[in-house]
Amino acid sequence: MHGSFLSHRGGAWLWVALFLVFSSVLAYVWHEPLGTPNGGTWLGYTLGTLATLLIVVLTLFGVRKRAYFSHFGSLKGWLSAHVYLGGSLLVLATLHTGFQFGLNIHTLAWALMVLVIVSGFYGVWVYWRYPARITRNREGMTRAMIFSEIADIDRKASLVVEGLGSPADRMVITSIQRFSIGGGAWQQLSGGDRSRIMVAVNKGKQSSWKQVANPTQQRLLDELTGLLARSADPQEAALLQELIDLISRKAKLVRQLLADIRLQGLMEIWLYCHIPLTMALLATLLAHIVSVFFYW
Amino acid sequence: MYVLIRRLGAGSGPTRTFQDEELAVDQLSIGRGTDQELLLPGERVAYRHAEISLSAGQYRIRALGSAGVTLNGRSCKVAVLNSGDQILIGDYRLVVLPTPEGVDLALSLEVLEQQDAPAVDPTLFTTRLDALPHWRSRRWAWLLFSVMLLGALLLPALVALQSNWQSSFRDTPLVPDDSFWLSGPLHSMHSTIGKDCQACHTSPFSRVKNEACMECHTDTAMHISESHPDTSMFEGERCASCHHEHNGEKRMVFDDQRFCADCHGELQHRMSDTPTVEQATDFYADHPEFRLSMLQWQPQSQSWLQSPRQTVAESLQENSHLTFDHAEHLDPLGIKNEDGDWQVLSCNSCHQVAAGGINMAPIKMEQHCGSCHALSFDLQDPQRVVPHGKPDQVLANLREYYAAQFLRHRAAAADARGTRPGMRSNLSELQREGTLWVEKKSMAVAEDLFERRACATCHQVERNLKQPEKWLVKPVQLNKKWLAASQFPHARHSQSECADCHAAAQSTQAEDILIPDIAVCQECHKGQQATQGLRSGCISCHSYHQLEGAHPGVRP
Repeated sequence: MHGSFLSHRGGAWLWVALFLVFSSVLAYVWHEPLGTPNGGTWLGYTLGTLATLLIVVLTLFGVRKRAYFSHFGSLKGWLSAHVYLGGSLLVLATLHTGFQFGLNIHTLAWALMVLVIVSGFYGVWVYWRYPARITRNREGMTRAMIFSEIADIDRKASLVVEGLGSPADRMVITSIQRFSIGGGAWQQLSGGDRSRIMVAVNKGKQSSWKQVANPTQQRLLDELTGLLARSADPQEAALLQELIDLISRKAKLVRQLLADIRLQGLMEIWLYCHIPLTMALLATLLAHIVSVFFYW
Repeated sequence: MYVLIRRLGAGSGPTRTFQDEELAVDQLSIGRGTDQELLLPGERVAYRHAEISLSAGQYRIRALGSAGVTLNGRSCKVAVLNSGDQILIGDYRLVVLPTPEGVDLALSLEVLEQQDAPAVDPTLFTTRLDALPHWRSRRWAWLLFSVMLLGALLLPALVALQSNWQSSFRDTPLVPDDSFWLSGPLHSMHSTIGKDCQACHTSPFSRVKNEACMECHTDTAMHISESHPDTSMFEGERCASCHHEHNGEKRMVFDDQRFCADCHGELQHRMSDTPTVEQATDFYADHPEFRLSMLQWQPQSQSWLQSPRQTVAESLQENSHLTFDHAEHLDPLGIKNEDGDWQVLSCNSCHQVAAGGINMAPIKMEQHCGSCHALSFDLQDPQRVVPHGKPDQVLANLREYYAAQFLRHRAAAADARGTRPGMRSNLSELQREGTLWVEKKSMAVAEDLFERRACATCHQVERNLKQPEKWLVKPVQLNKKWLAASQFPHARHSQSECADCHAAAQSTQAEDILIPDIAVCQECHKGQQATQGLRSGCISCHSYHQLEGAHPGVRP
């Protein structure tokens, strides 16, 4: 039975997290330390110890996730706790600072923690919203199916274009050959289409070929529509119309594919921040704790 | 309707193999779903891809999915089927055959071979983040972990422990300096320490010791004497208990009265014997009456002693050996001065704030009293005065003065008469007369000065019975430190009139205590937590490091 990790056991971890947040905020408000609130008062040490324990437990989620034979709590329960306790950590650790920030290792540890938690919140959001968006965008297909559908259209188009001759044939074939999506991280995440096409350009009487951009097959469609408008031969016009139908469908598939790559990338990118920053946080936290007591 | 499906097999032309199948259906559903009448496996076929139905004597194909169907090379949603029409669905081709006897519709079905035409190859494109080179979150995780651990912990720890490395690391540009480890900015007064953390943090993993502070702050007074029976109260207390460094400029000295109140609220429990000071936790709500530190004349040692602090009572009197009437001097109608004119005096005619603004400047006879109370003794010569403060010299001065008078007037007259030659000189006669006259005159004037006219106005004067030519003026000492445990900055109260606090206009005796009681202060000064009035914490008046004078009784 599928259920969201957010409502695992009726959101039990949410209540644990809320209890932690409210009790620490109450303690902070009630506590009037001699001097200024900071990490060195008894409440500061308590909050710091609690926050450190939380960080260790939250990090252990990465270990538990890979312990496939472990029965130490369900993985969904662990994730639920990870998310809610992670949220409460933001409050606990910030109260631990007593709002004393500066350009130092201590604030660096806090800032890394905030980045980790914020990236985690982003992860929760995309895991909550994006699967539905991805499914909706794919319209029941898989990414491989979209690709093979495009390949099928390409084959059909190359057959149809045989009856048309230049310049349509060269444009269609180069649009297939120079089709290019995905690539680097930015290309994937921005949904960029670097497809190109060779088109005929007329300079006076001389005609030459030039490579131009063809995002989502739009340039090819424009060229074919132009040819159709100038066509006087009904048979040629029929073939062009068929070709335009095919490429329009391909354009739609390409847009779906680009959106799919983008959504999938956005759903995964946060982990590339969350995990390395977590490890950086662990090292910085260790440095913070050691240095504080080194210079007690 | 009856539909004939002819599945075409291997071969070509008339020899091509086929297999016929007849379906009896209401309408022919086509798709890869197992509930479809014509099941076409393959990813590119939707679960419910299309359906063929009979309506108005015509067979129509209707595409159900987004992919549509291709009829005779054209994509379409709905189309009427005629014999010979070609339908493409995924990798399948359906051809409408001439309808044989006994069925309503005949279709041939064949699987298309993959044509060798150019097509997009998905393997050429990187469409997943985890397919990117260097995109391995675990690798980055361990890299960042190692960098931070090495750069932020191991290397600095090594440098901190190897003192000979420190200067070379501190001089290296781009390397984060010691300030990167500060939990907050140093107080600017400590900027002279510079980057030498070890100046205060002498040993790792132990708290800053008082000795580290005392190395510079050598003259800092203790709160109580080392010989106090209860120094154990201060065990575990450190300079840093109150002085929290690394909090920037303003918080090095906290004015929070709880720093004091946590001990002074329960001294009777903390001390083994009765505390010498009463409980105090808040100036307005919980503070004892002022206790005054008085001067007492010690006749045996001929000196003044600061007495233990005493609570103000009716019977308490200052004993400065002075006679003074504040009320008379402050008479709004004035007081007669030396020239016989009426002069109106105010407090600051005599009392001025000393430099520094804390205490009042001392009262000096020559400066403040002398202009009216001149120590002249001869009406003929009002400029001539006897010295103040030196009773022994008064009589000598008078003798010299009257001897000179005698010489000038009496002896000069005798000289003028001359002396006959051979006659005995009358000098010894004159000498005897002069000595008697000068002594008599001087003693009379001295007695008048000491006992009636000049000295006795202000001083307590006694005549020595055995040596009648000696008078004893009791020494005068005005109290300078009434509130020994606190400081009262007069200059900062210049907005108030003197009379607001000191009832001098009603005082007719020098013995009157003119120090106001605490209620007068509390009219303006409220407690530190007060919402109205002047918020005053302990250190508004008191200082922690005040052993001098604060606890005279417990000094060694």
